[in-house]
Amino acid sequence: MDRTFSGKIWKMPDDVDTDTIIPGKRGTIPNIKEMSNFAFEHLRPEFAATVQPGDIIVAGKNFGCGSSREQAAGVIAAKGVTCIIAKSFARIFFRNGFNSGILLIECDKIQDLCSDGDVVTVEVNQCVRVNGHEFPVKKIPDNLFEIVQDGGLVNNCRKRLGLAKEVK
Amino acid sequence: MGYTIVEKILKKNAGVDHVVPGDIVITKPNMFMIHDIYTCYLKDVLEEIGAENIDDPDRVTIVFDHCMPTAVATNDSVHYQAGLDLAKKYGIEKLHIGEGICHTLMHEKRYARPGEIATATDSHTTTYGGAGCFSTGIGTTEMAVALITGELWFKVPEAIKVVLKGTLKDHTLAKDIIIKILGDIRADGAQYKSIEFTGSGAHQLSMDSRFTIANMALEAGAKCALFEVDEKTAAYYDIPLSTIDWVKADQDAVYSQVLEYNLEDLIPQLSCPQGVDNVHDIVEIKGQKVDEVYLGSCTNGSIEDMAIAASILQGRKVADYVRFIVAPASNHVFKESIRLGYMKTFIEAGAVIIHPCCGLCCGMPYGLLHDDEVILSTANRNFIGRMGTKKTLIYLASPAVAAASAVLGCVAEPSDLYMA
Amino acid sequence: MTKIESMLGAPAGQKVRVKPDFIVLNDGDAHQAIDFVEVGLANPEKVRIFIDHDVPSGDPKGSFIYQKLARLSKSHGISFVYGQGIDYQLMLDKEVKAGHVILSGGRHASYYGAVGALGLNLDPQELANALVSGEVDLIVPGTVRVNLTGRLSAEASAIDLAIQLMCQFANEFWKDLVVEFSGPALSSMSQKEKAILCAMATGSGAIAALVSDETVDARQNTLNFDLDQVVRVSALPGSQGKSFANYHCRKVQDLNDVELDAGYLGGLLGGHLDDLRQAAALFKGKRIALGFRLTICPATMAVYLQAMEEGLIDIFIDFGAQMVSPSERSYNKQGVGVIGHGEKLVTNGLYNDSGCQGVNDADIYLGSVETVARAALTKKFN
Repeated sequence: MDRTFSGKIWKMPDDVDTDTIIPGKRGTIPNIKEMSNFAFEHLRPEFAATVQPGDIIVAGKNFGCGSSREQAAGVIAAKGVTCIIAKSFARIFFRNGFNSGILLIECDKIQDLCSDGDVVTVEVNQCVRVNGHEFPVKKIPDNLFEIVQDGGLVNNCRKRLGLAKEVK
Repeated sequence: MGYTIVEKILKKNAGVDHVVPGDIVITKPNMFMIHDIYTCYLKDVLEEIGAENIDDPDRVTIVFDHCMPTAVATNDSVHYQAGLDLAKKYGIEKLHIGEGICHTLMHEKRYARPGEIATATDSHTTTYGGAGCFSTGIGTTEMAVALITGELWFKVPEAIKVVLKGTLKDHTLAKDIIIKILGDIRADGAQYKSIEFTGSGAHQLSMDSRFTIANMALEAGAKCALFEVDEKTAAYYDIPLSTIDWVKADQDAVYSQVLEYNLEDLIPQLSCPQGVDNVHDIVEIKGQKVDEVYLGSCTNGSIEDMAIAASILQGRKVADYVRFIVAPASNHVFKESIRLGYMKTFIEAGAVIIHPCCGLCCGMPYGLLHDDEVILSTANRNFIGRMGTKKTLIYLASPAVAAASAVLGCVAEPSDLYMA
Repeated sequence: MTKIESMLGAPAGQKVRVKPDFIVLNDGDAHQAIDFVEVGLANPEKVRIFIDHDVPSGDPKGSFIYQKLARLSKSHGISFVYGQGIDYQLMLDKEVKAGHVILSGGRHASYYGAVGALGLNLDPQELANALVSGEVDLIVPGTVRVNLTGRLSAEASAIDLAIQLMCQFANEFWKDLVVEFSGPALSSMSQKEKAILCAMATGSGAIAALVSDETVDARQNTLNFDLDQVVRVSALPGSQGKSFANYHCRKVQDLNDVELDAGYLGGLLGGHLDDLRQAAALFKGKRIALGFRLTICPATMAVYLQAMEEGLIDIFIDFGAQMVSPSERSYNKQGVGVIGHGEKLVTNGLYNDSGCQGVNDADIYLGSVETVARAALTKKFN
């Protein structure tokens, strides 16, 4: 992931729970790529078919609340969405998001200033910019950014194991 | 500068001198627990990663409690076999198969310890905070990596202080305390935070009561729930208090919120359909007919819970056309309940006894109900569809209320029996 | 005269009208009878309702059936017993006497034949008719007598005997007939052992079964069987939808290449106090084999309580088995004791149809308490 990137916005409301992201009954679909075809199926039925890799979700508070189901983050990442900007994130989704290779940015200022289809620009650890407005954002911890750059925790772990083998 | 309990535990384990909320620390958890819902998924991820070894198999336990005894034909044996495969491949020896609920075993076996860090693939991992252990749940992928590396990062949370004063009145119990708090702060009222229990009332509570409260604190979105360590903790773990008495909140620690409760003012509470935080005093719900009563779960399946219920059911019968299911939380609780005559009391009253396991709490086949039936359970969740159909109604309450309700066939408290 | 002829007061082949002493409804098959009943019941005081299969309910449907039976009980003042154990044993313990006629659903009402009572299994429509009219019309069946001689050796049990008898005789000799067990061996057999024989006779196709202390008339249709020849056996798995399809059994020693996954000890055939004592003696101080799962189900709550008193339940818990609340689970597709795809179960249950424990591709072997117990120690037949 670059330190500066832009993407087309998908606007989401407050309190988007994990069942909204992917209904529990879809959880038995054997692989995540297939499962992702049902992402947001009730809230944004057009999402799965029309979302493009690099698109960015902009949401309200408490994004990802509800169960600890990892697949909620997994289906978003499987659709190539690697950044979510929200007013706040639910605790376990915060972990699962990064672990799935998604950059989660907390910002509560841009939601009223942008709509679906607008382009938002992110400068990691610096700011977010949309429609002529710019707001600062907190630093993402280095270890978490590294996980996102590696494409998720599994790759990050493989990379670490690889290093360990070399040292030995 | 004072620290909260969670700050102290995290910085000690991570080996840093100072932390503030928001800091990321890298910890080495002392204990990892996996239960049998996640064994197959964990096995898949570990294979995907391609790890041949895990960091320290002695720090890992696999508990077979959700799918054991096997009760869902197509599923449970797969999860069971995956657990055995994991144990064999990675040299995990601490296996507990059909011995009881994971969260109960974690403190019964003294795997989760005061001042240490435990993590598990389950939300109610917060339970061991009753013993001053920082314990919280994580997802399967994260658990796989944590097992391989031995490390887990945490963001230091803010903390809410709950001061408990005074003494509970007869038959008002720990469960009523935590339900009351959930009703006040709601299902996201402690989102991301550490709930820390202090005050003379907290110290008066038994270990089982503390585990009950820490268990259900999760339902407020808490990252963890911690009780200060004291003589009771030391006695439970059979270790000198001096080795663990640092596990307490500093006087000048900074809390985002302080709540105070006078336990003398508390009366029995219920979580009503369909949310854990839809809390009402018992006086508002009394008389509501029930079809089934469930005594058990990691929240209220301890010997203390069995004792309270047995004392109320002694010499009494479950109401006609009401089913009463008893699920001791562990083999130890089961055997003690037999030895102390509680099981005999339950059976003579008309109860059905199931083997220690998660049972009906998570919707396994142990008393599933149909449309428009009502269950009163001592478990920790009452989401729609959890214990039957979408139209099954679930009330959550304490073991005392459960026992009284089983006898009268409607929501009741023990004092109603003496008047009946 | 055969015993059934004397009980029904007419020769084989004649139609009779019988007034039953009891009609037993449960949450197995019999509850379906209620769906056919639109008017009142003739003799509610003779009806007995037991919830003894789906305890606790493994599916919301089980609760639906519970409420259906509860409504019938409430509206007619009918005795309603929940979760106290298997109805056949409870009825035998409390009420059933020689000469009684009891109507049931299911296939094993001949359990009552052990005390010389006539247990008949009817389909739901027939049960409904009997509930409404208070009577049932039958054609008196023919009888085949089984003359039992000798004694069971120490290692052989009534379950082994029943399996061997069934495999030898059921297919050819006793379909749609009454099996009348008699002979000198009966005097050394307990009521439980006789009940097991009778139950397994109808479980494998007989219309009813009874014990008789009448001396055998050699001119009658008689099969002979000597108990001395009984060894520990297992009935081989049946096919889907059909228990005992092949009526084959083999000695346990000849089956020790089979890798067993799970065991079920208890129920109507293996859940009595002496069975639990026998199992506890084998388990005391030992641990279950890793990779084997064992559920133990006392036949009734009275047995459970006594077993608790004697410390047997503690032994089972320490061994690593899981206790089940007394119930009839042989055909529960969801609930404690079910197994998974391709797994192999050795059980004291009443059926060995491959689908009876939840999946259609499992192997269900029937065996004695000792066979199941030994499997729990070794994962094998031995």
